[in-house]
Amino acid sequence: MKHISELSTELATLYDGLKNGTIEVKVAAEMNNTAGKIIHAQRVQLEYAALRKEEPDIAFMKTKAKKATA
Amino acid sequence: MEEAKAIKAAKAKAYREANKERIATKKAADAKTEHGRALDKARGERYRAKHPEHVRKLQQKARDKRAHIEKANAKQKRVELMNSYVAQLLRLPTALVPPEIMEVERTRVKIKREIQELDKCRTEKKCSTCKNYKPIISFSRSRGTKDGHSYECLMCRREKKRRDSQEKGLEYKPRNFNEFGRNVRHTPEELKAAKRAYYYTNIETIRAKDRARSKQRKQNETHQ
Repeated sequence: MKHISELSTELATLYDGLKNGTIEVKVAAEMNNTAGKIIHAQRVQLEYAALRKEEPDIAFMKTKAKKATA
Repeated sequence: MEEAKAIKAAKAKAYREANKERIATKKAADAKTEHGRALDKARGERYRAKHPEHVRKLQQKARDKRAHIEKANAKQKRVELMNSYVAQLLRLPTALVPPEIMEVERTRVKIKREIQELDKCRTEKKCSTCKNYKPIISFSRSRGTKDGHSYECLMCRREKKRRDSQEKGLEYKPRNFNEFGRNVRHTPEELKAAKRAYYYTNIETIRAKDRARSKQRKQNETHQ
């Protein structure tokens, strides 16, 4: 998983699986928790950039078009 | 006759078109005076009486338009509320959270809620103290927790109570409980047997008390 869009699709499939009953509640809870950890890691970077009054430069969150130009 | 009516209507329309501004200013001036407002009201009533179908259609149209706007506003408000909630979860100002993170967090919240819903129907729970999975009946009801059951099982809670009272030097009397830690009520036979057992073990003290009581009664009677 190298981009936030992948994480988003992964979570969407997780939600569908949970609704269908194909994924166990325990597994879903753990995966959801892990996704939260990833997001909070990004949050720290965002906060850091905001404190330094800089534009955040996070590869995980860069759009694909931006990636191509860079 | 019809033709004359049509010509009159066309003339009136042309006059309205030509004097649009003048009519508008007159209308605005009329709206400020009592007489003008009354005239306007009377005109409106006359129109409503003459064309009820058209008025009803117009009212329905306005109602539909208002409902559509209200629906859109409610949706926008919901989205804003959710976004602010997500930002609150991330402990960041709403403007600072990028939309991608917003989306992921929204999905996470949805999954969390689904898990909470599914958790309500489960039959087992892990005790936070002994770390064992136990049937849900072994946990007392608690309003403060997410699933409505306490984190600690009844047995662990009882053990904690016993330990605490021992530390304080107090006497701890556990109630009669079953394998799940639930209190069990005594049957009438059990109560009878317990009473009998108590009587035979404390027979001397009970008889002494009885004797003292009868003596007191007799003394009271002689005084009277």
